[in-house]
Amino acid sequence: MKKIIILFLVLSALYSSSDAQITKGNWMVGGDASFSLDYTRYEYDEIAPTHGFRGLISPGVGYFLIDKLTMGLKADLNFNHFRNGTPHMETQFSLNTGPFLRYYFLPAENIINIFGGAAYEHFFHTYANPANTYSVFAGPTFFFNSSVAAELLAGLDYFKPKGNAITTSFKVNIGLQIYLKK
Amino acid sequence: MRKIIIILLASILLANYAQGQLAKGTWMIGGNAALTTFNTRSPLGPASGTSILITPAIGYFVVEKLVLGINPGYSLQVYKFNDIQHSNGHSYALGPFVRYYLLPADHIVNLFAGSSYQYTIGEPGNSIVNNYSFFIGSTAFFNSSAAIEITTGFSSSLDEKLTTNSFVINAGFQVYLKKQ
Repeated sequence: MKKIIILFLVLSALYSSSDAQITKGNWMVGGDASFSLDYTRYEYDEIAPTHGFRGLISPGVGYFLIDKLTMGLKADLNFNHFRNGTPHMETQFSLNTGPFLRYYFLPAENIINIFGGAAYEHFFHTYANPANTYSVFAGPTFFFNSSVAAELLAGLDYFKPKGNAITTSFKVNIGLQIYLKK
Repeated sequence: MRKIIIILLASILLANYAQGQLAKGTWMIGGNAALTTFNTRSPLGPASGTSILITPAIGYFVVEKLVLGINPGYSLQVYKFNDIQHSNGHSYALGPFVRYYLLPADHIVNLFAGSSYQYTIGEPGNSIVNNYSFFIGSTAFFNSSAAIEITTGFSSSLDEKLTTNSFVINAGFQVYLKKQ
């Protein structure tokens, strides 16, 4: 483990000619949206077909207020209008949204960097109790070029709905992040 | 409506300063990998679980404007409530996709059409799902590596017990990595 950390730090120091994607005035963007009309038919006639209209919108945007520090907003909007073999259509809606903060610890021109941050989200749902999620996270990021980076994020979430249940979770995500320079 | 169509066509004809993102040898990459493990304390009893979802998408431009790729996938779901295991399953998926860009490669705004197939096998139960999709879309390049795209299409999932047909619209970001 010690050898891996030393190798990582040496590589971070040597690869220092990125295009400074994390400087003041740049943007960090991500997210997607999906809408579908679906119809499901079952092999056995005893089960009535189901159909629905569903949507999922998950934008995320951050702005670098100063070098290496970004603040942003993330949202997950989910809605379903469907019928599951019942005479009536059902509608469900949920929204999970809130701010996040992220700071990069190594010099801004490094191709390999390390970030840490925190986030808060509030959850609304048609039927379920509202809830709050508090998160802290950290991880490395590797910039392919001036716009795209691959990152690994490890974090802890504390989920507290109205009532007595509390959920704590540990998560690891690997994905791509897009940076748009001013 | 007519003004919107005219503006869109003008954008397509005039926007010809793209940076070779659709050239032979460029990679188109995307996807995500996520691991989550959780514990819940509630008056009804403890609950815990682990989920893993890995969904990369990798494409390669074999010739200009034509990309071939694969969509592998892996998922795992384990869930316990009051120390009783309620679910424990995993699945593997794999399949090809193809996409062709219809306008000249140097356009910042482009149109594409494509198709994909994915084979998924799940345990327990050895369930098999075949998914076919056909789609068209438009893409607008921010710069040499990132684009925003809208895709619309038809998707059909079949297994031995049910068939789901869907009309789908997706919007999101796409990453292109050019060969150096």
